[in-house]
Amino acid sequence: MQFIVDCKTVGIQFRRYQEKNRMLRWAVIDSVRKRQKHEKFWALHDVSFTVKQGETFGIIGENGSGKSTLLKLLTGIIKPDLGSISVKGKISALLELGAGFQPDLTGRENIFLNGSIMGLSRDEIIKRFDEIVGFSELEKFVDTPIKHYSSGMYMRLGFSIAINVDPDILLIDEVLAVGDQSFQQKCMDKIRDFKRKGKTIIFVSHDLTAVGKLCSRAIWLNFGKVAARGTVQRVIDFYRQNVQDQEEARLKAEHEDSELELEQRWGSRVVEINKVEFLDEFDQKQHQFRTGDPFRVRIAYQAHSRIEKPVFGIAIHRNDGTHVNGPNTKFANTVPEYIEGKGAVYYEIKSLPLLPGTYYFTAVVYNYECNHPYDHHDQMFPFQVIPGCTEEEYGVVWIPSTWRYEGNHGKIIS
Amino acid sequence: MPLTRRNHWELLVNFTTRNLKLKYKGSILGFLWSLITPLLQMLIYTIVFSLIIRVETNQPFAVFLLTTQLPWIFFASSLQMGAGSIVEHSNLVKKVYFPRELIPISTLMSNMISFLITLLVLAVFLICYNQTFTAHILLLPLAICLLAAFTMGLTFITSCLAIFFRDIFHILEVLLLFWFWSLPIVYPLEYLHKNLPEGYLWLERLYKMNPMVEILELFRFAFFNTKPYENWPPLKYILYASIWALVSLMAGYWLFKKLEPRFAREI
Repeated sequence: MQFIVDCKTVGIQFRRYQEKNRMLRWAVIDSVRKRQKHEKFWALHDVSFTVKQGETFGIIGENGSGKSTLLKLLTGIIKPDLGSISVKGKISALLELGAGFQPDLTGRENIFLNGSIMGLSRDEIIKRFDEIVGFSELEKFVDTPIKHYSSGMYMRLGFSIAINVDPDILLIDEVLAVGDQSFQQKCMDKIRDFKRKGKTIIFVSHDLTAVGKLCSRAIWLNFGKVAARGTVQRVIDFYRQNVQDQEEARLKAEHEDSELELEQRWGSRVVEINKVEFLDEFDQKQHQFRTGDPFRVRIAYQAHSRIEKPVFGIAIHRNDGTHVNGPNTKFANTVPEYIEGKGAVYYEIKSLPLLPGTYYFTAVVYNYECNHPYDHHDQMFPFQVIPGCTEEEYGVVWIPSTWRYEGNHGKIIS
Repeated sequence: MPLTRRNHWELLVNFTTRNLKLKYKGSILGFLWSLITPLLQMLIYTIVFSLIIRVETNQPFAVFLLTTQLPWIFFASSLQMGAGSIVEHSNLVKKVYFPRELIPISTLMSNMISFLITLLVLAVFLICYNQTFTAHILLLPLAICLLAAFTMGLTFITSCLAIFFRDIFHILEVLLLFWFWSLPIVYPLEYLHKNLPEGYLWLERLYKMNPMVEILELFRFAFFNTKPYENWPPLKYILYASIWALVSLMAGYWLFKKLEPRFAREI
């Protein structure tokens, strides 16, 4: 099998300087000191992968993981310090669209200039000129200096030239995030078209949905190393899991921090709330729940003396401040006669109706008249809701419901 | 990206026309400025050096000056514009791959076009001053080639060094000032031997080591047939200038190619 892109144990090292030494005297001083001060780091280390003809290959990773550096290596803009890269065929990068545009020249002049930078001959540009202009929808402005273009027009022209170069390999780097919805759609169509023609695409993004839809195989770059490779689903799952673990760790840290923080806590402390834990259906501590999951909160308290008729309450706020609910044991007619010593109260939701987002949990205990706080933890416990049983995304809550039609209608399609 | 030779040539042409278009876009007189600037310079130098300081030349001073001043302007502006050329294209260099040498070459080419047009104006002047052209004019293409090669080599060097050291611009400014006055542009070459006091032979020798002296003198040999340019130039002139032009071109290209892989990272 012939590989169209073959990247073998590629490594590239950058100097991490604070400021580049553009002054001769620093260069002289540096060379005397043998540049010891420059800390070096591997922007990419031991990166290997292959792409076959006609494949759509994804590269995912966070910002700063080395994705852009890898793309620059593929286009030949920079050379690796270690390993080798072989690329067969004409490669066109949708890196920064319109990189070579000259603001003072007209759209037409820029098409010719940029086209030839991308490797098209004059004849080829003439042949594709109408299509480039047509696709970018800039027929009326083609003889206007592009400094008068809006940024959207600028991007459209850039994309249009890049895609019409008709490369063997197309590199796409996040660029689809720009432009209006309909132009984005047009770009996606064009890319699918390209795919159908059996051309090779390398798609770099942290938009997992887009990568999942377009690509068949992928790698995940993390701190310059390949952290996972294989089918796109496997890599995405791996990546998601990692991101979730990190998020979980972050929330946990925040949760633990909150116990020390006093500003959001007040009350006489005759009863103290010691611990608030979110539990899943298996009684495991969690900070992430799916919409529709069972949701249970254990509020552990300690009463320093016998307290008559204490009222426990909770509240859930969304991170934008929306107050979602605020029940208490008095409303629910479940106030105990008294409490003494250690104990716990459980707050249970059979099926969590919250839509995805970050929420803050409040736990309080008051006297029966609810005018004297014993202990009040205000919005101190964060938890996260991720997509679950519903596709809904508007509003705050998911309310289980059904739809029905009356009158003349066709078959219900999903 | 495997570009073909033809594509390279077209890209070079595109860069060159772009340079010329951008240079004159938005100015009312446009291309005329390429002529007006040297002519005004000539005017002031002629007043100072032929009326006040009284430099004596066998040719009318105005044309005597123009024959070397025009090549000098080409040389100096190529070096200066060339130094900034890669840095100005940092956006392109960081994003798209194409042979980087096309950038300084295109700077040189657009300057060359301006230069050739000014040479036409010089021809008009020569005719106005009743200077007759002889077979010596055949030296002109050679002189232009040597000048272009020598300039190109240095332009390669300034363009890539400017990426690493911005000091180049300041150094260049001073260097060109020194260089201008140590060339027989506003005075004839014989003055050097004639006017230098005893014991300054070393200075004369040093002066003549500068290859631009020979290159500029070749221009005068091409245009004039009066003393001291009545004969063909000595062969060693041409040889010396050719060697320097070749060395400059090769050294410049070598350095450029050696540093090229680091451009995108350092710029």
